[in-house]
Amino acid sequence: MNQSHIQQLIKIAGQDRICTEQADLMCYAYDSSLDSQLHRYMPAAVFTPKNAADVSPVLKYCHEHTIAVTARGAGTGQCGGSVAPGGGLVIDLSALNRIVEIDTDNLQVIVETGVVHAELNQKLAALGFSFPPDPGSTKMATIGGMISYNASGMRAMKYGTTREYVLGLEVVMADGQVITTGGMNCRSLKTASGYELTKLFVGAEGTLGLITKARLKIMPLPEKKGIAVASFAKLGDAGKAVVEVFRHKIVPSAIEILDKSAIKAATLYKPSIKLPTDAAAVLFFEVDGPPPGVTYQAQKIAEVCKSIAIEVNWTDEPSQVKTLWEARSVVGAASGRVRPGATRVYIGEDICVPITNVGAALEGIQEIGEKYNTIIVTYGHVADGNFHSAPVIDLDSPEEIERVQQVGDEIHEMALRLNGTVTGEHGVGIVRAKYMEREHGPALAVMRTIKKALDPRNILNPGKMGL
Amino acid sequence: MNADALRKLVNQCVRCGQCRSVCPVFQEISIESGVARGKLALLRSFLEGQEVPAEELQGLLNKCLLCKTCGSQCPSGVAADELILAGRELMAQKRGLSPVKKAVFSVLKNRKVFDFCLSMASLGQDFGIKRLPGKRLGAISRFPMPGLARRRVIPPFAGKSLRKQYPEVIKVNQPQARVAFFTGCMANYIYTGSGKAAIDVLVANHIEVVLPKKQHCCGYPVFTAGDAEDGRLLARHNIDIFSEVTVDAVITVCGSCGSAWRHEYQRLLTDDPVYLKKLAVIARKTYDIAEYLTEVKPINKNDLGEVNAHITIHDPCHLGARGMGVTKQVRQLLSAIPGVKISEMKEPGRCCGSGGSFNLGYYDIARGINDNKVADIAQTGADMVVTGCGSCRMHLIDGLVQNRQEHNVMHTIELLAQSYAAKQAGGKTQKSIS
Repeated sequence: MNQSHIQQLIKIAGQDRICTEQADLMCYAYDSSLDSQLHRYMPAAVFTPKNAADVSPVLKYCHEHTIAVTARGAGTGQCGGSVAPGGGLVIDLSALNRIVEIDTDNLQVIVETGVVHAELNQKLAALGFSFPPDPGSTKMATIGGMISYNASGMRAMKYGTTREYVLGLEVVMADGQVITTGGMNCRSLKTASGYELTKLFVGAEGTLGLITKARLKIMPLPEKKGIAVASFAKLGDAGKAVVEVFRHKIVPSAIEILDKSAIKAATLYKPSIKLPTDAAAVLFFEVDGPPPGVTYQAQKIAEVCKSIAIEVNWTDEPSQVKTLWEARSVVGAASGRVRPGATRVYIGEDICVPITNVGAALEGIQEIGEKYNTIIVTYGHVADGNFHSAPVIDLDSPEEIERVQQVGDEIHEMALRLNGTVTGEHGVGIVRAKYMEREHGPALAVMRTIKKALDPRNILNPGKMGL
Repeated sequence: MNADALRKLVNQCVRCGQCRSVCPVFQEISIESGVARGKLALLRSFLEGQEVPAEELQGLLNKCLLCKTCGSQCPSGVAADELILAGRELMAQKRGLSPVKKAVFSVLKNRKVFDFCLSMASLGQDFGIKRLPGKRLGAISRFPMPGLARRRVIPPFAGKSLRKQYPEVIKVNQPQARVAFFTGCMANYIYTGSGKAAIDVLVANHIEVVLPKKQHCCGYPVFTAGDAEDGRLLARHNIDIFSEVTVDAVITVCGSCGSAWRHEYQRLLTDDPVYLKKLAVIARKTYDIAEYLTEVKPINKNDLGEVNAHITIHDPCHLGARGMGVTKQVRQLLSAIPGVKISEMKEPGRCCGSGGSFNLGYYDIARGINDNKVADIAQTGADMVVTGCGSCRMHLIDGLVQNRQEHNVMHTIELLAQSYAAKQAGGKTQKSIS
């Protein structure tokens, strides 16, 4: 991308919509990944559209001139998915943040993709509804990023991932053409008509098209929520408890795990919450539904866990439930607190394994930490086997950085060995591209064929997902 | 803070982006360099010796309200506002301040010259500004002025500064306490009514008030601009002056002044054990007026007369939950006044966009943030806004005028003083919208 391209883009998009100042560009050279802290992925320009209609002519120009385009929401990604390693144009969709339509009768909403998850759910909660996928980064993650990385979060076991809630999309294709998936005027909750293009774009990490609007399914909010907190002497016991709960025909809306370090991080962040600091792990079992069902399920969980756990308590008092979830939701970012002067880094942070291998994975992560003398805070969505391992290191130490890269590799390798995946919800981006071949085999070639068909000049988020 | 220590603290930011969801500036301009995460990333690169345009970095670090919202909600515990402030100091050392700031601060740090200039300004101001009709303290410049948006509503200077209106010691019969009043510039030169109200209420509570004549600006505008050296000069001067008086407490009527005494001077004087020791004596007995009248010398509710007012409360960043923590005390005082009805606005602690001199330098951004605040105010149905900061008051009045809202803005203590006056007048109801 040269100066003449930038001048043309300014003509198309407007002077105030294209940034080229060095400092501004540097602020689009990172996401949350360690990788983007170690490398500076500078774009040549940043485009900040105000309306979805602004995007198409820009993409058309980029297609004609083979300029790389990387879409970006809030930049909260952890795998280098929204940075531009090869330069080119970054499109910051933050300002496309309008909720276009809320149709509670038909259980759906239409939103622009820069809408932040928490803002949508605040609006919906006031009406008694919710968009169930619930990432820990609810206050910052945009709907567009959630769709592009098939984000999910704590309640995926019972309610599913983002993919299950996307009914249709407005997508600007690589050549600037705007399409609507899921039917032009369709407002139905399901369809059997044609190829499932909607789902093709979910989890495609911006490599197939640029999503500007989404039609999403919503659900009524459960009447009540309760939470049982169980603490365990051994990590493996926590894994056993999860399996036992399912065996007893209980499907909690969430089961979250905090290991010893995560308990410490949560307690340091919110000293008011009382978690057993001597336990190897605690599990938060959330149950929801009609009040009698909540009580029944919580008591059943307590009964099932009694023989495995050190202690089990439960509450359905809304403020206590809220405090516990708040503590849980910030563990990731608060992880750095366990080692003064050090920082939590995002590497090997999102593996997902079969439920029966949960115990092995938890113990494996701990062993890897010990092997490399690295503190790893582990927490996550144990109900679907998805863990977030948070290595805490001194970023000033090149030796620690090198070690943590080995930690990341070993965690990913272990996930594949345990019949899992290298990413449960954060995506592949740059940092996990190297595992695509091993995880998908010949299916990767099919992905490449699809990519080539839809983006023949490979301008959309090139290099991501190994494509 | 040296560059290496600063770099280590900046490294604590994990770039999770939570600050994007709360930063008022980012919500206006929607560009990554406008939010703490972006600013810290740039600062980090700069400190690591990477090529960061210093001029751009200095400008971006200045584009922050220091409202503390990001720091108060950061899960990693990164006090971004403090690091941005440290960054400003670093850049000021490396690049200097803008010529305008340099000129203003050179006047400001000389107490006599500053006082003289503002006295002269108050004499000649009616030539340069046109006062707005009504009782709100607002005026518009008649001529284009550098650094001031043409439509900006500014308050006129007081004809006579507060400290010139009173003797150094305001005596009472049988004093129950003795306090020193740190007026700050706003109450001394502009909103003298709030200073007078504070004195009236303290006196009504049999508290002797010392008004040290040689006190000076707290220095907030100076050290937040990155001029730590002159900030220290002002801090040491004030510490000396207030160390000389024997009092039970030091009272402030502005969250920023109070924060300067309680938090900022300590940061500025970290390497000065002599002054730190002197400061500690004063800092631990420094109170905002609302705090003092609820927690230290609680007022007698029987002394309060009726004031007919439907109010809403704006909590300034440095006085409220993110600063001195004075929120419930304000409500306690105001709800004690017979006749006062309080309708809380949505998020009373959300920054109004003033940010000290930020609203002058970045008027359009400050205006946008303030427009949201004004909309929240309008939604309450209240007739008046009560707040505890002169800078917020100035910016809120501008916003209310720009948005054609009729509300007046008053300091908490002024409403309380009206209540005392109503009682003394024999229980006559006071109309507060005046």
